Amino acid sequence: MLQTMIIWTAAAPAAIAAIVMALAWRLGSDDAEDRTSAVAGALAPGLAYVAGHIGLQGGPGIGIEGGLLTICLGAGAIALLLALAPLSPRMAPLVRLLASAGAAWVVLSPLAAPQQWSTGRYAAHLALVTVAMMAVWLGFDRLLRRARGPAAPLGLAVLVAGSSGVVVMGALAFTARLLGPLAAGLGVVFLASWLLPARPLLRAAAPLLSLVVVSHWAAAMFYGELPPASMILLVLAPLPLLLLGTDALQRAGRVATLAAALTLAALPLVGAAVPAAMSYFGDTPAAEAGAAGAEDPDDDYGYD
Amino acid sequence: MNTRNLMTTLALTFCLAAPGVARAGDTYKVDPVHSTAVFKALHFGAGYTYGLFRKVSGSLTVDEKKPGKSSVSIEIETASIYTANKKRDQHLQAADFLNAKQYPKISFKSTKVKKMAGGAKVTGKLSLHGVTRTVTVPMKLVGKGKDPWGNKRIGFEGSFSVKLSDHKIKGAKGAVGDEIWLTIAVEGMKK
Repeated sequence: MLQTMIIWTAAAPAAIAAIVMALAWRLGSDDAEDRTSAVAGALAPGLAYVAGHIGLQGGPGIGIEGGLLTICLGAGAIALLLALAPLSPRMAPLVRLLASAGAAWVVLSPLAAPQQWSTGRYAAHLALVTVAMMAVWLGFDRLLRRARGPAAPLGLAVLVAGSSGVVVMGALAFTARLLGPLAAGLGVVFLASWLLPARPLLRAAAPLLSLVVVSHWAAAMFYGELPPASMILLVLAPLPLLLLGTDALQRAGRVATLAAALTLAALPLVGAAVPAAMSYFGDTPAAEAGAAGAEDPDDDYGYD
Repeated sequence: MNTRNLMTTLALTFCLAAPGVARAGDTYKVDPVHSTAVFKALHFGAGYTYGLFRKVSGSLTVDEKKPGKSSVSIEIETASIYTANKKRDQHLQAADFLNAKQYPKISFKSTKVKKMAGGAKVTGKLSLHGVTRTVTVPMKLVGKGKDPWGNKRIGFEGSFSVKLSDHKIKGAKGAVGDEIWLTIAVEGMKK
């Protein structure tokens, strides 16, 4: 079991991403608008995720499992289209809104009927997840357009891998596991960016990364027990990474920039982990309290 | 009333009464306080972990003269799973296993009831984790009785097994065995 986990969480996704990066190295160029590099940068983490999803979950799956794979495929298609033909500034917000709303719908729609959500409540949940996805998309987009070299991919890999650690405390192991292949793919992009710092590898990857990552966080909150406070802090977590695009950090040496990327990605995750850890470790297991600890106090014994 | 009207009234009365004649058998409401669904699962291939669902409801129609006309409808609240460990219960409720938020009920509806010695063999549709499959459960008649308030009660118990993979539950492969053994014990109170 452990071997399967290692293979599909890290090794196989990383190998696939490495093949894509090798192709980008052979076929791409250092031009800031190079489409080949942008396509490869979107494909590598996307294919890594798809391989990991199929390997770890044994197929597309039903319910939210299948939904998360659908989101990755849809977001990947958008990323590829944007790599080939960047949108005009007028169209970009509309596409961002529609894609985010679509992904939010895929995550939440299976719950509306069973949870008996009113139309207002359903709409509010949809709006919140859509806004979260759009905000992270915008943040990633700004980061990936401004920051050059390996710092941004490293920061994103740490953010995705670290958020997996937060999500696992939401009692939903498979969403946490599935962030592993994505982080592995980003790790390979980081190494490629180290070797080819001028390549715009992740220029068009913002839709893929934002929609996939936020849908996993949202799934952990709505299908698991991730506290809303952790979800909010996770959505805000990419903000400090925007500092990587500042002139000061762009001019700093490579080691200093990478150290900054690590710190800026890791610190907000610590904040997001606190409410999740309090929720996860705070309760006394019923077993410790004895069987009576799990009984509802208002349960009628029913001697009738 | 002329003869034609009388015939019409008699015909209508017969038609209306006919379903009542066909609807033989007693209908019992499942008493949730005295009904349960117990399960066991193999952990790391080493030992059994037991648990139960604390909220079971439904109805039983028992026709002793024509057992084939009997029927069973059971609903189990997925979130009522209890294994004496809150963290494990949370994990079993989450989308890794039962996905209680998306699939809040586990249901069984009989399609065929066949009498057997001491009870009945009940075949029906088991819906678990959004996947419906046909299962056959040998239900043993535990007993019949009356409570102090004169309510007629009847009890059945049956065991069967399901495969998690049949219901697309991925769970924790290797840690939890694919086959889960269930015992459903229901007590019905006549409506």
